[in-house]
Amino acid sequence: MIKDKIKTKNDRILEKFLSSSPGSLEHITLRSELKQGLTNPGILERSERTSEKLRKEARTILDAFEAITNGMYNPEIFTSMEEITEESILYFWKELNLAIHSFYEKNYNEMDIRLGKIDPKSALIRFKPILLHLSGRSQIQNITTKQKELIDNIIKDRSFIRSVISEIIESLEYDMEDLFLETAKLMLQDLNRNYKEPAYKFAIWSIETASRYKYSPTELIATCKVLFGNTLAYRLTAIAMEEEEPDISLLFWIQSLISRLKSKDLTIEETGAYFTIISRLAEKIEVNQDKFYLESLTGLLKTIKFELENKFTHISSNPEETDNPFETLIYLSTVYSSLEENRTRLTALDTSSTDLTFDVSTNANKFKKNSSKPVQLSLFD
Amino acid sequence: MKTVNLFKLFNISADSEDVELEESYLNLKQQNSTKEGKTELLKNYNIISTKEKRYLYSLTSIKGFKDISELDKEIISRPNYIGPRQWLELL
Repeated sequence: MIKDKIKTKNDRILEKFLSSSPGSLEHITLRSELKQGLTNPGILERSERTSEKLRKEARTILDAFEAITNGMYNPEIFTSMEEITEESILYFWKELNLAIHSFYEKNYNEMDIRLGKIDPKSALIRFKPILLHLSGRSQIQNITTKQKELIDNIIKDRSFIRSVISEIIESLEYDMEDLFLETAKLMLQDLNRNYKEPAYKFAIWSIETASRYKYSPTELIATCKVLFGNTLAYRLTAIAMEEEEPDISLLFWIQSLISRLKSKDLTIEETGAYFTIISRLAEKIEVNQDKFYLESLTGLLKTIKFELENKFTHISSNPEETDNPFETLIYLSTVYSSLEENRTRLTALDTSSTDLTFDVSTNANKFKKNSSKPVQLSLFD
Repeated sequence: MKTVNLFKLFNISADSEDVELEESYLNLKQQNSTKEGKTELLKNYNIISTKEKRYLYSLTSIKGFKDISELDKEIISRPNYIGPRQWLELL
């Protein structure tokens, strides 16, 4: 009921403000009153008489508030909020959004600065003691029921996650592959709902651990594809495999780029960065791989060349003809990357190219020992 | 090992223009009076000094946990996201 009265008061002030003559004392007073007492930016967006600029600002504030309090990744909202100046009716809302964002980012100094920009007479100042309490800056002395409820919901216990972690540790201790994979998949799904970045880190850790324990990471990678999309899933897998199995990591980096090449927003700079990573890895890998590996690599190279030609029509992606796919990758990196290190790598390759023999029949290499690799590669389909 | 989020440090993103990084670098350099601080700043600047290097950093900067206990610490110390409705109930 009190809320209704506040809403009505907000609406009434807005109506009066919109009816007053711009520049008049009444207009200035009402504007200031609205700026301090505005508890619902939605009324500015809904009113047909509001200027287009103010409506746009209200939409920006509402979108930002929703994204920030839900932990949604949306860098564009911060750029849009930059346009809201100190003079705007929505200025304190902008500062509140940035204060809440800083709190979640654990940037408490920035949070203090943002809170300091909210007028002590503004309705939004009610959030200040909450944020100071949550960040441990100062405790609320006489806490109200509503304040307690909000605080408890933000820092509530996560016993479920702790119990899943215990289960994962136990599954590794007793070498229970199925339990490990099943629990890790559940954890990935749960983390992805609320904690994007920890979910990515956990994905890398679980794939890396599976690989170290000789468990098949196929199901984990498939879960990552569903949760994060192919491009990111392949990239996280590539990062996870880099130490233990750089050759497999290389295939996943290439597949991540192939998947990314299908996006409209891929730039030449990002493509160049991918090729730098790929050629750094290609340089480290033994050239004498088994037949299956070389066929997979050659197949991916064929696809990548096709996608590159379609995407960057102004660039000639026909490097010097060579039978060695590793050489081809290093050549491609000089075509698409502007970084000096790729040219240096190419020069080194030119002087030692006679040593890079391409022997598909060689089986005496470390890949022969692991028969599960074809299963991983089938994920590319 | 101390990790620095270079995008946050320079207040840029992977697809920022090179000139934005240069401006940010000069501002931070002016604010930083110690020699060690400036050397560190230059090192970080060199890591992402062109748009392509920024993508390189962006693609590779995420690392897995060294140990599962790191996940425990990271999650427990993270506040929940509860959506806008509950925040607005305070008004």
